[in-house]
Amino acid sequence: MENNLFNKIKLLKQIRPEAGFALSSRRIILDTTKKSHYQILFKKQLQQTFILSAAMGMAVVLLVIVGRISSLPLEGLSPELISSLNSKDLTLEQENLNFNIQLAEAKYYKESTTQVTMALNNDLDSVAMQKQAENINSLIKELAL
Amino acid sequence: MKKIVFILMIFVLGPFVVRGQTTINIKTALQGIVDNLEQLSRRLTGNEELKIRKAALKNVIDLATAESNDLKNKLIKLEGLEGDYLKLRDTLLKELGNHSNYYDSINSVLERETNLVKIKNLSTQLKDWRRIVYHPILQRIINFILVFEGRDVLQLAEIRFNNISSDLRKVSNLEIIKDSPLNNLLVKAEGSLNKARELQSASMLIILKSSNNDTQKLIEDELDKIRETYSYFVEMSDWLKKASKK
Repeated sequence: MENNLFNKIKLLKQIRPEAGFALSSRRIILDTTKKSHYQILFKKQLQQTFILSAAMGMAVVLLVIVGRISSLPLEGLSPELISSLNSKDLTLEQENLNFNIQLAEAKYYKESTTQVTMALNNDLDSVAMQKQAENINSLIKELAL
Repeated sequence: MKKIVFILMIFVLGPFVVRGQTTINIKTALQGIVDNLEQLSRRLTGNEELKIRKAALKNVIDLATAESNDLKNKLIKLEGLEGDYLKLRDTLLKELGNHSNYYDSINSVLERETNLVKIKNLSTQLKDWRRIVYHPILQRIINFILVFEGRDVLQLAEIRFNNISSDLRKVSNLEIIKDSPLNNLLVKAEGSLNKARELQSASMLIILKSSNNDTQKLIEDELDKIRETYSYFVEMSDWLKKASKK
């Protein structure tokens, strides 16, 4: 009875996985281990980089704050410190001066009144009429409305 | 949603459309007068002359109407008017309304008239009216508009000056600022701005009293002083740019 049992156990020990299955399982196991290892390494690297960048960023912010409140002479001056001297805004305002005060338009109205009043004159001869037409033509060209 | 966008577009683009249309109307009427004058300078039959003189007078009325609408829009657009200035603006708008009525009455006579002599008389009547009534009021309206345009430009320059002064105060303890030409330029800018203010005050007083032609000169001088102020601002800005590159 006992011998019989030992024989059966010996038979069970001889059981082996099919060669293909063994090979593919080994590959999967080995691959997984490898990937996990690299992932851990990458994560650690990322964390370190993040901590380093944050520290550097904080240092820059601190330097800027200290720089602004300090009364020490600066070698260079940031234009943002005096934003009201921004050259783009200034140039725009300067360019708009002529547009906002329309002296040219006032000139047009003055000339238009004279020229049109003359055109209403019934006593103009043909030469004077031609001349008047030319004057009004120049007025159209100069019209700065 | 579409309705809101449409209403917004009317508010934003409306004034430009109105102004553009006014300019086109003025140019078209002026071109019409030029064409009529060229036609009248040729040898014409009585009927041809009647037709062209009527067209010329119609063009003058159209021009006057377009100019009147342009001036009305400009007066209405002026903001922040108070007291006597508000009253004067309303008076000027009323005058322009009377002018429109006068043009309408001339136009209705012109449409019916078929007699060349009477058309010529109508032309003379309009010419005299423009000289005696329209021209002095026009001068007053133009001065009024110019003075308030000047005020707005001056206010903008004052805001710019105050902002620059305030910014400079914030950094006044920096050595680079202490040794810079910025403060000196700011003093110069203030001097020009003060002169512009004096000219503005003088022109504000004059427009209440008369249609004096000197108003225009005052505004021109004021504009020169504001230009001068900006030239100092630009000089400051240029210095700052150079300093920041060092």
